[in-house]
Amino acid sequence: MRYSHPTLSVLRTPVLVSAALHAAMILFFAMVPALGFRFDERPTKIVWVELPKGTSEEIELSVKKTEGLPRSTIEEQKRLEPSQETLPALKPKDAKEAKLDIKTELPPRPKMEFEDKKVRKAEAPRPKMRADRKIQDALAKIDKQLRDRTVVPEAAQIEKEGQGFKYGTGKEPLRVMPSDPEYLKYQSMIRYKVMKEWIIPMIFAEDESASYNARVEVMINLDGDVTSIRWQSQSGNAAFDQSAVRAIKKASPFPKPPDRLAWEAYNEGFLIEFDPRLKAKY
Amino acid sequence: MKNRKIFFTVALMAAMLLPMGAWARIYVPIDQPSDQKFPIAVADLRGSGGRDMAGIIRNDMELSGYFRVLSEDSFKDVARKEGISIDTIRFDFWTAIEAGALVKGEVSSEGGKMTVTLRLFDPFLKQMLVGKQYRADKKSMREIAHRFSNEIMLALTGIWGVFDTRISYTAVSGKKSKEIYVMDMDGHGPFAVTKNKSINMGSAWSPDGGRLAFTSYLKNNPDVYVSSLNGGNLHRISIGGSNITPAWSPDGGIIAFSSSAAGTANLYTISPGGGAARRLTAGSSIDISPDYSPDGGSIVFASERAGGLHIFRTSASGGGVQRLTFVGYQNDMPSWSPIGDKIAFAGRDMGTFDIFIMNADGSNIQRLTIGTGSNEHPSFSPDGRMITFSSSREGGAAIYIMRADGSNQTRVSKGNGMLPVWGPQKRPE
Repeated sequence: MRYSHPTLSVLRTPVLVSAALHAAMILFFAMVPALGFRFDERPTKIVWVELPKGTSEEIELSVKKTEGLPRSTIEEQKRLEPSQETLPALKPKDAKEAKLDIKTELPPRPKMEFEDKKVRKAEAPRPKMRADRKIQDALAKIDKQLRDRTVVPEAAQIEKEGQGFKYGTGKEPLRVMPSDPEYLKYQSMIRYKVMKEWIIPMIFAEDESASYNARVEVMINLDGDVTSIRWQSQSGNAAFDQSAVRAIKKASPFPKPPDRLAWEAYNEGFLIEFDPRLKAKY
Repeated sequence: MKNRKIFFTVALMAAMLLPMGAWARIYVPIDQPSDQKFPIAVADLRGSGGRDMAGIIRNDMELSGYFRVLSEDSFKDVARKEGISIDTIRFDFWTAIEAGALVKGEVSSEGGKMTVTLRLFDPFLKQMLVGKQYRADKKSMREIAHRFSNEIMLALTGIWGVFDTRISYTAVSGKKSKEIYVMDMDGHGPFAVTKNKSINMGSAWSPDGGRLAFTSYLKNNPDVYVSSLNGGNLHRISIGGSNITPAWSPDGGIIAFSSSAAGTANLYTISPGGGAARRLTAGSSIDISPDYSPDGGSIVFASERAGGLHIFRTSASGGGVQRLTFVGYQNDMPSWSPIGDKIAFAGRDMGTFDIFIMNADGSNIQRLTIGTGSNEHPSFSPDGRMITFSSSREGGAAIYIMRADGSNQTRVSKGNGMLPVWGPQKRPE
């Protein structure tokens, strides 16, 4: 039997062309991962970078193996100021700017913390805070010079040669994974800033049987101010979730992203995951 | 024409696919909380004695090393105006001063008995986390306050606190005499266990907290004695030679100690009631300062068998001796954490003793004290989060406590003191 329907006869060739085109296109998208078409239904492309334990500033700052008993206490090691050499390598053009950035990021020394809080509470203008920081930094430097010895993270009888340990009571060795230094550095800066403001009842960090995990999508504007905080998933515990939001708000403004990450930072934002158990993975 | 159609189809397909793909958020894992201590406000309790009670709780919170106790000046007026129930508390004020937790309560007395209501709130959630009411004699005020401090620790850290525990120690009490004392962990209420004007030292708690084993020169020879906390039921359990550094097994059935009965100091075990001693270690070098692992299966001790004094461990029956420290030259006084994962010890370094901590297998030795005179004889709290030790930083040796990471070192004994040992959680009635 011969079809005489007008549409069919018109479409006969185009249907074949279309089928061939579709097949080619599916093949094309599957072969070119840059276009983002994947069969495994994972729309979010997240760059996972493995970080060592401890605060981010100590990245690549491994623990020195001592011949005798260690000469510095855990407390002193915690107060260690991050030095430029210990940060991942920077591109020369960024170095100067980054240096300035890092300076403002320096944690105030513990005894100064209270004054710092006061200033913030009184809504003091930022320049004043900067000035206070400068004084604090200067004081800290003198304080440091007064010490008759240098403090380096050190532990005796390290389990494996060439591996260091982080502070305190952790058992896991420090592992530094090779990764994009610029991404790692910027991520570290944000991580450190948020972490510094994340104050939670210790039950969330110490109770190993419990599991708390909250994921937040955060957007910033060109000044680094946090403009939106959106839940991707909540822990189910209101106190934990609130502490995460508080930490992000207090960490605002975020450090300005380096050029290479600017598009992503401003357009895609950040995925910040709060979970004390993540530490065990590193 | 055909080309345009193809182009159109491809463009449409691409447009549909693109939004699904190009998502690349910068991922930031926040895996550990800030080093900042948790801010807590403890308002004076309403009623007579309420101020003292709040003071005891505030001091407990400071001692724990977990909390930053907010100054009363920042909230006194508001606290006085508002009540102690959820509907009367101005939570917005407490969140504005960044109080992560708030303690409120009241005391009422009736015929010598007092009723104490204590509540812990989360100002951010506007919720009550703990509410307790205690009825007791007026003299139990400290105990009630400590009990509620324990409740706060449980609610905010997940582990019951140790504020109602005690510390035994040795103190110089006269010319040439030393006695065993016991005090509350915050330094209050010290009392003498021994009053024999001899030299008594180096105590060890029975697991039920009812008895102490210690070394005494009562019969002009160092021997291990056992007595109740009030000094009663005193009896000698060792015979012959110098007998020092007793340690109680976790089940309470055995006391390990160091004795020179066979010439050199070796480890022995004996029943708390006395009887025949069993030799645990042999050799011509000294073995001292035993301490049981929390499961009772192992003993950590100091020995000179490898030249210099080092930390070793052995099974509780005496086999399988294993060396733990290889650095330093005089490591002594090991204390096993009640959790079992850590061992603290005192090591001689730069001419003085300091406290160190390591994993139970000897790895990762880290320093906890430095530059503060001689710091000796660490002993873990029952929850494993704190360590008591003696320090000569203010002249004569006194008793201090700190967190197990060396932070928050605080003097607790009013007078002098040495060889502190943290008692168990349970208290005898």
